[in-house]
Amino acid sequence: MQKTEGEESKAENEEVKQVTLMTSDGVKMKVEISIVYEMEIVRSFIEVNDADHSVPFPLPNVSSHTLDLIIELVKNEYDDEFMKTFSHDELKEVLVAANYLNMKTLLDFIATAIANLLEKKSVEFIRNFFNIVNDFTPEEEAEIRKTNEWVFQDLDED
Amino acid sequence: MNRRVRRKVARKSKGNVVQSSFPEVLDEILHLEPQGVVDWNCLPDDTVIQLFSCLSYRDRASLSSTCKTWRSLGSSPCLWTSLDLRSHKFDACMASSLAPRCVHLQKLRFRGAESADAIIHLRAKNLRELSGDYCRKLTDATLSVIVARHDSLESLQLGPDSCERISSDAIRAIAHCCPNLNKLRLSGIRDVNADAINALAKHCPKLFDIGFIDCLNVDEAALGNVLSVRFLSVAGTSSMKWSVVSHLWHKLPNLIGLDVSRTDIGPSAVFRMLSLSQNLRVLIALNCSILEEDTSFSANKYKNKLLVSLRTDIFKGLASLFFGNTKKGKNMFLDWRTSKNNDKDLNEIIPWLEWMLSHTLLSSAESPQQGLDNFWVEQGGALLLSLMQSSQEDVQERAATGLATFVVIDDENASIDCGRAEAVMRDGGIRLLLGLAKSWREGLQSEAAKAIANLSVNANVAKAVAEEGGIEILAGLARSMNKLVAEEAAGGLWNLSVGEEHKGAIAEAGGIQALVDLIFKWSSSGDGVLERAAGALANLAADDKCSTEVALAGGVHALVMLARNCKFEGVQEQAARALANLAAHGDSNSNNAAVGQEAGALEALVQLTHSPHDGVRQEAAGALWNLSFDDRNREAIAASGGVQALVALAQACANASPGLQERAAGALWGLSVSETNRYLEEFIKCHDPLDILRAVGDFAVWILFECWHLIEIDTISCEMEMLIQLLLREERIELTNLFRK
Repeated sequence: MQKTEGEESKAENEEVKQVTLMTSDGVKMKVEISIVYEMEIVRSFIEVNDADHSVPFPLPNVSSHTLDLIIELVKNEYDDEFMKTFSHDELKEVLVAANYLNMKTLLDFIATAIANLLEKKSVEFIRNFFNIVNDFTPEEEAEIRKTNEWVFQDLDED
Repeated sequence: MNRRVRRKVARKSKGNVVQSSFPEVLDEILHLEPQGVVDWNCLPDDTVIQLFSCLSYRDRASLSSTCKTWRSLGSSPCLWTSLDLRSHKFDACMASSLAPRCVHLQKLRFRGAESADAIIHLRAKNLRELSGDYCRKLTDATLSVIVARHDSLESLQLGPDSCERISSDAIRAIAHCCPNLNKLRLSGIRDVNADAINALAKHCPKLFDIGFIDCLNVDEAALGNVLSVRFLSVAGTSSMKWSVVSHLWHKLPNLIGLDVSRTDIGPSAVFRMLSLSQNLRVLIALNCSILEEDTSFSANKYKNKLLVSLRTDIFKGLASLFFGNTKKGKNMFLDWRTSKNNDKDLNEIIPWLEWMLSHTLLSSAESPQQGLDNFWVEQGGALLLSLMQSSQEDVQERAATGLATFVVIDDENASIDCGRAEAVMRDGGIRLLLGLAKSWREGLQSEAAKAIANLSVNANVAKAVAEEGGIEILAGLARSMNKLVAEEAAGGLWNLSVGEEHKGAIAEAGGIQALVDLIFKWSSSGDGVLERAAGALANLAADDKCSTEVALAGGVHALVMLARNCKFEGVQEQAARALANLAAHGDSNSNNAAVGQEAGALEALVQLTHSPHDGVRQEAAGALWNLSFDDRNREAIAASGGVQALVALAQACANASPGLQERAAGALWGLSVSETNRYLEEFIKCHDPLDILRAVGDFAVWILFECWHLIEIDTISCEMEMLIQLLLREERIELTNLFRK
């Protein structure tokens, strides 16, 4: 693996504790290092390579809008109320990004939030939510109904 | 296959991290999908599994039913190491269908003897922990087969209900079949004899945790032979020979925790155990009356040994045990778990202590005794709150049930001890309970909802529950597929809906629709859940705006169905009350007419006025009264025999509650306000008018006012004339007015 050399800008590291990230839509964003440290994928790179923070670190799977949301969430210490303002698409984007960036706390937080949205929802709702295509044959669907039967049977009264 | 969930890339190895300024990366960026569209094919397996793990079994089943990939992820072994079947109907057929997924199952909770029969069909050979409740009917034969098929079993717990049919034979079978057994806690066994205990001592060398709880007879001397035991509980067990105990058990070389709560142990046996036992560190003796009576007994002098009793400061004692006397708050169990301590003994003592304390606190809350008031206010409530944060799910459940129980003074009248309830609130209990209620685990959901419901009888607590977001949580739980959860949540909404200020919030949270839906969901089986739902709807229907929403949600149909079909008086009463309140809004909405037009509604209410139950009759009469304000309803009520029924009710209830009398008379008056008067005409002709007038009390004058022209003057007796004069004087109505009409 090739290391990034950036001797000419090393001096900047001392004064600004920020890392430049480049999002999928080509936006360069300067992000506080404390926030960046929650992103394992970036952190491991910085720690190992002692990299030049001014050279943009590319995040080809994260859009600038999603990164904005993530930064706000971390800054707000994962505020429920703030998260409630997210659209379904935004939630899903943050989930994928949290996974890609390997942000453990954010991933737990957002997975719980999405799980709450999926609670007691129909299979069709879940398929729509995740754009999942039903690839079962009718026979398989019948079989699945049978394997899942146990959860829909309530305990009889004593 | 048209989609595939990608495995997580191996990005944890540091060398593989994407680097900057690579042409191919930039190239990739250019070829990314358009903004805002996320490719869900890229959601990695472990993230999907994480979503599964946050959800209940039902929701997991829905996720598994979306596509092939998610189906296989839903069968991942990590989602199937532990299974809680308590709220599911579980038989051999179900077990067989689950078996392929249970190859790696380690932990199983079940409920009832029938479920126990099905366990072997899971073919979960690797099962380590088995825990069952409601095992009264569990037999030796079933238990013996279970242990024979699961020889890796390390932990077996049956209780808290008595295992009446389990004998020492089954315990011997356990000993022979499960060489790895380390924990055995059984409740309510009649006789645990020496043979059984000696077999355990011989064949289960790792057995370190024994509980023979609430048993009738346990061979104390044989227990002295189980040298491996470190934790022992005989809480609630009767006929213990304490002299034998005190001469033998202190020799148990590894014993560090002993629980003798709810027994007749006396100070001398406690003294011997504390002074002679080498390694003993905790002795729990809660609710031991003989010990408590001896005021001279003090355990302070036993260094490094903690006695937990009603007369000790439990929090101080625990602090000295856990942290060597450093001052800590009342959240010691949690503090201990978050602190970095490496005391191996304590890491074992604490879960055991939590479990035993929760057990004894719950049984003390369930059978209230005199003289425990101070204990509950000063220590018990706070202990339960602390136990609710345990890492053991069953301890959390019991603590929540304990909270739900210890605040109740009187089940019948739903009265609670306000001091205790507000103490729970002050110590942060509401937030904790709501946290548990949000768990995906249904056992926790129902117990937490029950506690919230009971505590919310107190208006201050109800306010706190609403402020902490509790209404939304309860409305969510009311939609549960689990009847126990839905029932407790509906109970919570019932108690919260008493407060005017909460009604709108319940409607906003979708609570009204949820309550109506659950009436349909359990219309034929579930008196408890139906009564609570109808009760909550009744309170909500008293509010103008909410009453419209109840009707919109299909509430009229649901409530009429209950009034017509349900045989349970509690449900009938609440359904009638709800219908009465729905019809009480006069012209502000069309509910009054809507109830009347619902097929069978008026007949059902007329029928309910014949109920032997005062409450049902009162609410039914109240409903008829409110409904009689609508012309068409009046006709229909009369056509259903309402007049006769109400006259009979009015006459029969002369000595009943003023509420019942008022409603019966009011309904009659309502019916009398008719342009044709033909309903009353009928009954005035065939009854002695005086009887009617006596029966309807204050309403007599109004009925007279409406029906005067029907009464033939020459039939008026002297007595009746006097009564009429009296009534008219009271109501200041001129006799001439009557005659003019």
